Amino acid sequence: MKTPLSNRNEDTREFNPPDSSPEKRTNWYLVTGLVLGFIIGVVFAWWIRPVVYYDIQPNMLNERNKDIYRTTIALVYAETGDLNRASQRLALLDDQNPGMVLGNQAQRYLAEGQEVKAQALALLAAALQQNDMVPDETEILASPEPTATIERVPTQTLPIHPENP
Amino acid sequence: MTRQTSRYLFFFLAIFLGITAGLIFGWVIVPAPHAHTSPHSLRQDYKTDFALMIARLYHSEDNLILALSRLSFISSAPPLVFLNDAITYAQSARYDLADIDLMWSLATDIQIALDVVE
Repeated sequence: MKTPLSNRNEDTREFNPPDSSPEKRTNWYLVTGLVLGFIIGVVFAWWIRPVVYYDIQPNMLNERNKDIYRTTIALVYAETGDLNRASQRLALLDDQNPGMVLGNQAQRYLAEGQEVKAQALALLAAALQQNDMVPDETEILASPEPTATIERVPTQTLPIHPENP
Repeated sequence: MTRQTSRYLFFFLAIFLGITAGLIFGWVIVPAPHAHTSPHSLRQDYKTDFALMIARLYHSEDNLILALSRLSFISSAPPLVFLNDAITYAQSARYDLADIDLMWSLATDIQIALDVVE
């Protein structure tokens, strides 16, 4: 009985080169593992065990906490009238336009029915804007020399370098 | 080791390396956004200044509950412990005596209230 193989010419045997595609499929599972592991690592690092910051400055607080901080500053200003101190404290929050931020926050609180806080915020915003409009005579008369950069301090009562009293 | 076993081994090794890379990325290169920062993590001088603001507001409002609520915003420690630390820092930083007295007054009233409760 003749078989298909017997029809072949032994001198012209078909030669099938090895298929290279299985090597590429093999590498893809490694890439998948890397990507999957990377996603797991990022989720763990950002949500499950995020970095905990210590000894932060007020400008590193989230917006909600900054709002509370700003409100407290405004309420104290409403009591004391000390604009200079309030300005120094507001500067710690690194708002680009403190007056505008205060005004926006006042409007939000007014819409929420928190009138006392809204009034305090609006009062401080108005005082800051008024202070910006009135030029300081000492600034006009002072010579235009560059001032040294001092470490930011939260109150006037703190020395410039609290680490070295 | 069979080919399938080695594939599993390398796959889990790749996952492990990916997790390591993800942790390095999430902890070192691009840490979590500041949404995870808490007022409790503020530096001591900023906490002391905030304590002074709370004491100032308490002096005018005379609302101990509100003052305690504000203190809990800035510190997870018991109010008297936090105020004691703040006063100690204020004294070392040479705060105005009037400011220190405000904080002392608040701490005293909290102590009196706690004694009444006990």
